Amino acid sequence: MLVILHISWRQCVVAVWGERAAPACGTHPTAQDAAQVRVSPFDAGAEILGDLLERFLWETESLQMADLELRLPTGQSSVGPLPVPSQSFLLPADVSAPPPVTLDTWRVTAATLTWKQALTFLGVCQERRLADGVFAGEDLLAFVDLFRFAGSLVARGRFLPALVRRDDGSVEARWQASLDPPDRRRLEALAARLPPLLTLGTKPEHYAAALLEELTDHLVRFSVMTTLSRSHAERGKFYSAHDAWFAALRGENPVIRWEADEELDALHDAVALWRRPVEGRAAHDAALLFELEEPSEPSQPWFLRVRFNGTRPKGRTPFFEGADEALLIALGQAGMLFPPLTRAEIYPHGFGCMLPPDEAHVFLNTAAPLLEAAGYGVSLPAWWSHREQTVTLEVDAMPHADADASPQALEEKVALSWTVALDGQPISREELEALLESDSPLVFFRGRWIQIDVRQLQEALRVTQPKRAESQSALEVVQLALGTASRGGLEVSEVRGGGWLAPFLNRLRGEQTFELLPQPATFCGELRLYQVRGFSWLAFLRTWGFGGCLADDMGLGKTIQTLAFLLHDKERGERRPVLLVAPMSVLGNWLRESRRFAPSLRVMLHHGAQRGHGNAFVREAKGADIVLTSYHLLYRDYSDLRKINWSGIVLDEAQNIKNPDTRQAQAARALQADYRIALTGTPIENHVGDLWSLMDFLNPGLLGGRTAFRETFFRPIHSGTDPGARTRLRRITSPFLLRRLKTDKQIIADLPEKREGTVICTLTREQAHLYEEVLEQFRRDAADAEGIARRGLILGVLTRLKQVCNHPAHYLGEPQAMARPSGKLQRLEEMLEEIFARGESALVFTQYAEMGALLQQRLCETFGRDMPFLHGGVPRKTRDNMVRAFQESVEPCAFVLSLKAGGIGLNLTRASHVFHYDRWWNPAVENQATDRAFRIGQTRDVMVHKFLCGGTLEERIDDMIAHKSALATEIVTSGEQFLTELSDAELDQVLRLSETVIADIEVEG
Amino acid sequence: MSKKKRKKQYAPRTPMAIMGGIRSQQAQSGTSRVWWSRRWIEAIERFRIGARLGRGRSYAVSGQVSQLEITPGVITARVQGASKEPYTSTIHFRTVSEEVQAQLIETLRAQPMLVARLLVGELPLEVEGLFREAGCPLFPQRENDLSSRCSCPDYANPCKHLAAVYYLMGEAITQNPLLLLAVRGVSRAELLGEAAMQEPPSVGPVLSPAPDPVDLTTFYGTPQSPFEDFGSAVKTLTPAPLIYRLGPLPFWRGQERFADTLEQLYARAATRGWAVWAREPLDLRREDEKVIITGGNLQLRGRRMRIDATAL
Repeated sequence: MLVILHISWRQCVVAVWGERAAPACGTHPTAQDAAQVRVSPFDAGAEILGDLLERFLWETESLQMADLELRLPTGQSSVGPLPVPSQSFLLPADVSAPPPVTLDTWRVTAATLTWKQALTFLGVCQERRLADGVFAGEDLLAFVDLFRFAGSLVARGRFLPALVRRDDGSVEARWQASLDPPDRRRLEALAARLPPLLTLGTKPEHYAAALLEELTDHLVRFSVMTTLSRSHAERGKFYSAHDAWFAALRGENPVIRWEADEELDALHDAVALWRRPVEGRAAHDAALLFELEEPSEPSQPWFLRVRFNGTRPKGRTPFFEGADEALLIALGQAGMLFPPLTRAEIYPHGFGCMLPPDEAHVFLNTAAPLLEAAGYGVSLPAWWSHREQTVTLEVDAMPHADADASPQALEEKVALSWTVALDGQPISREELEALLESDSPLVFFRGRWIQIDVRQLQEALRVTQPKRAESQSALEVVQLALGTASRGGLEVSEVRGGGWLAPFLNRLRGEQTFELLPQPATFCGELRLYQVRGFSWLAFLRTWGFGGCLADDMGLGKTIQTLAFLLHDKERGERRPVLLVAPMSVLGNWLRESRRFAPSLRVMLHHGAQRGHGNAFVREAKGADIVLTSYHLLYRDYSDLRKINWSGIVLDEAQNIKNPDTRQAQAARALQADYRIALTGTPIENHVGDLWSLMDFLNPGLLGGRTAFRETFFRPIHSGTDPGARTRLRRITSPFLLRRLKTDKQIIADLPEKREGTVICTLTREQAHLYEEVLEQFRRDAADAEGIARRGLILGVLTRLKQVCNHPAHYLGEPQAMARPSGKLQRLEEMLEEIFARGESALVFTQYAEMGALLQQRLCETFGRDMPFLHGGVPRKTRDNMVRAFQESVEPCAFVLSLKAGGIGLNLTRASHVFHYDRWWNPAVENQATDRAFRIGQTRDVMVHKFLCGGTLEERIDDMIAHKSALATEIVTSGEQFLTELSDAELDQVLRLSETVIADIEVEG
Repeated sequence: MSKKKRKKQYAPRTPMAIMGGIRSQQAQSGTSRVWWSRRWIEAIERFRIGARLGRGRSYAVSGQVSQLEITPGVITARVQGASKEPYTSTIHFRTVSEEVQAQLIETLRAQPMLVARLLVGELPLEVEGLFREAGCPLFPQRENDLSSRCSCPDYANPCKHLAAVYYLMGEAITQNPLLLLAVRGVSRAELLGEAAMQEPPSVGPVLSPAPDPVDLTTFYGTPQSPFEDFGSAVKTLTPAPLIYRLGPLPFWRGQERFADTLEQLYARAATRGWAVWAREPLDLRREDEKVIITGGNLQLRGRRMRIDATAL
């Protein structure tokens, strides 16, 4: 059941309501009494809503359900007036989307939230997808943006306590945001993002301002409520209106409990007046411009001209006459930021003040940026560029002795000698001392004027004292090189290693290509150049005891690079097993790929009810090179897994441990191993919060503790307060993160024009069961059949088996069974998620129109938005609209097509991935479909993914084609017909279900 | 006998404690950070006031002044002393004549920067000069520049009750030097005239009707990239920069100290604000409401326990 959550805020009440797919329209209550407001057929209802909110909130006892009347776009459908849902896939299958013609009132069930619940809820709603099958509407996301704005204002202290008189005469204590001009512009931008669904009947900017006021008040109120002692609050007896106000600012109830009305009035006025110096400007955008004018003669003072509203005040008084209190307050505040301004007066040539050169210098350096940040206009001479020279340290690190490449070498002592660089140029100690002799921050140095930071230079001088020759471990040098350590608060911009450190550091930083290893002799196949580089990189890190994350784009062969690395490690003499953890849905793929590319590796599958435990497990694992298991078992069988001294741990789809609190993440970090490798195709470096868990798994302690990480990287990056934080984080993590994009020029040159990959999917227990059942039936039926009857039976069983492989719902013809798992479907959704995360789109082909319809519905529900489906029955005009919408869509999308639909001239170049959900076995037909994504105008490289289920007829036919067997030609020319010519024994070889991985997806949940 | 009685009567008595009075926000020993407040106190010190100024300060700190009203030319206060009934203390100031007032206002308006500085809580020296030249100095130079009365039995003038009023006044002008002009007969409203700002309607979320037609095709909103421009946090010495900037509310009567208390509240609020800004989940429960849950493999909170139980 898919639900889209919306929010509503009217009459001071926050309510959440849900939209879901309407039941078939026959049961839709259209024939209601006209006088009554009709219930929207898309209303999620109280039960579903309550159940969902329970998952997002701490306390739900007080959750109230109420009817909410909404004005929604309404159109005329075949079954009468119908509200237009936010996504058209919510419409019943037999009703096409009515064009909206009017706004009509509809009733929905809404959960009214207390503000405490509302804030908690908003804090959870950070992405469109809130949980499986639960999505946030655009209105909710826009609401959350405003909430974050309130958060930023509160974090920056931009709010003030106030008194507000209500219509009923009560006076409330409120916390109010205090917006300066930049913040007001932000509020305008946020208001423009609010959809009519929220703001209908109000001006968006009024709605946004009022909502911001509520959010700010409650955010502060809930933060400070605990500071009010209980007795204080309960007693409710105060000695002055002031006490009552202070208490009400921290109370659940904002109403000030104070009898004497005139005292409240007096306090109200006093507070308003008190706030005036900062509020004045907030209430009125005072357009003040400060213009620094150079003197015509060097001996003359400079002139700082003050303009207002773009006009130049002349004469004696016009400035004041045109100015109001707000402008004067703005002027007064500017004077506090730059005191010389307080001398400003009206001269014949304008309003402003004279500045001697030293004050002009202060204005250029300090005051101008301050004033600009405060929202004033500033105009400076064109030649001025504001920048201080950066002081950095450089260090030469010389190892005392030679060392072999090994983790132990990093413990060796290394001699350090420091030098100082000014804007990247090394300077001597003599020059430094000379610079420090100048008493002004503006100094003439090497032929030009520069600005220096005296404190930094002094620190640099101290650090580089010749007496302070240091000895540190090589590991600390590595930390200096990565930027995780510094000296005297100064950035270490350059770390030069001597001896064995030089090539090591350069390679770590990616400045020197590391040694490319020969392809392992035991590797069956041919590695492309970038793949050789990838596995050599893994080997390099492993040598020094570091962990690395291989984050290549989907389809670049992370699996075979890993296999090559494991073979290399084995050839170097590693005898211990490696633990390879992967999602259930790709275990089969790993088995197949290792058999194909690395047959010498003994792979032990630790999976299923028959898996060993205790000593049996240890014995078996010690005899294997790879122990393959799923994330689920990583923590469930942790007590077994920890008994092995692993050579390494490899996590496939490592985004599975992005949340460090999960048990699989904790288990992964706790297991002992010499090296760790993570594989992922999602652009994990873009999600700062997810990076910590991954990096801490790979190189424990590298990014510091979780709390420190949040303070130094997560918050500054997420709030955009420190632009350098992202660079620093990249510098630290990039040596351990290798990510090649399929669009990289080097990679493209190394790739075939069209790339195809076979994706082996696993059957679920239900699918395996159905598969055997179909086959059993066939064997019974075919025993006596001959000739045409036999052929018919064979073609029939082929179709049914392929249906089972696709999805039980497809075979059973029960759309509601789509809720149950299927190996292919799960893999498709996982891959689409990764593709969407990179903003790319995909085509999904199936040869069955029924499967296409099932897929479309399912994908819509999984991703919470409309996905098109094109089949033979779609009229030309609709088809053209679908194609255009797909090509122009801002959001990534999956386009489902039935292979028979088609037609020529489809331009689907927005797709960069093509899926064949089931197989035609005819490359010509499949290629024609694929080529749709290759039309002219295609700038991205396209990757083709061909799905099949391991251990089934699909895998066997694919093998035959891959090995160019004699049969293959026949398959290609005659399609599946050829199978009808096989003998019973041959046929059984093709159709039977071999032992394979059966996914316990039900358990994994 | 009578001598003894008199002695008893005049022995310093502790004032009766009252609640809800105006409380000085300045530290006991602290001198004001601005020149005009210091100058005010210095002027009072010249009135042969002696130790009574210190007593007056104690009165101000413990909140003995229950009422204080400033009108042109007069400050009226009610001060709780040792007797049951509070005393009434009044201070009369010489005000400017109508003619001089008009002249002063015209002169000030010709120098917008002076008015601007007054409005943000500064007293420019030039303004003090203007009033002195007009024959109506802002700071009393001689004792008879002003006349004061107190209903207390103390024959000394200024008495400690008056001293408390002087003291509070000196503190209030720190943030609001316009009060000094007001007692001399030049009010904020008169100074600003038509330039005065209308009080912004301080009402809550009243929603106004929008006349604009609604685009039905984008009614539910269109997908947008997340909004990320939330400004930058400048490192400040205080979590409450605006409070620091504004200073305490003049004539504060609360039991808690104004600025200190607000600073604590701002610091707490900032922690939450940061969490919201950085997209961290928000836990508004009090410590005693929390149940500690360890482990768990779901992102959704609240339901963790239940899922774990079924998975095991």
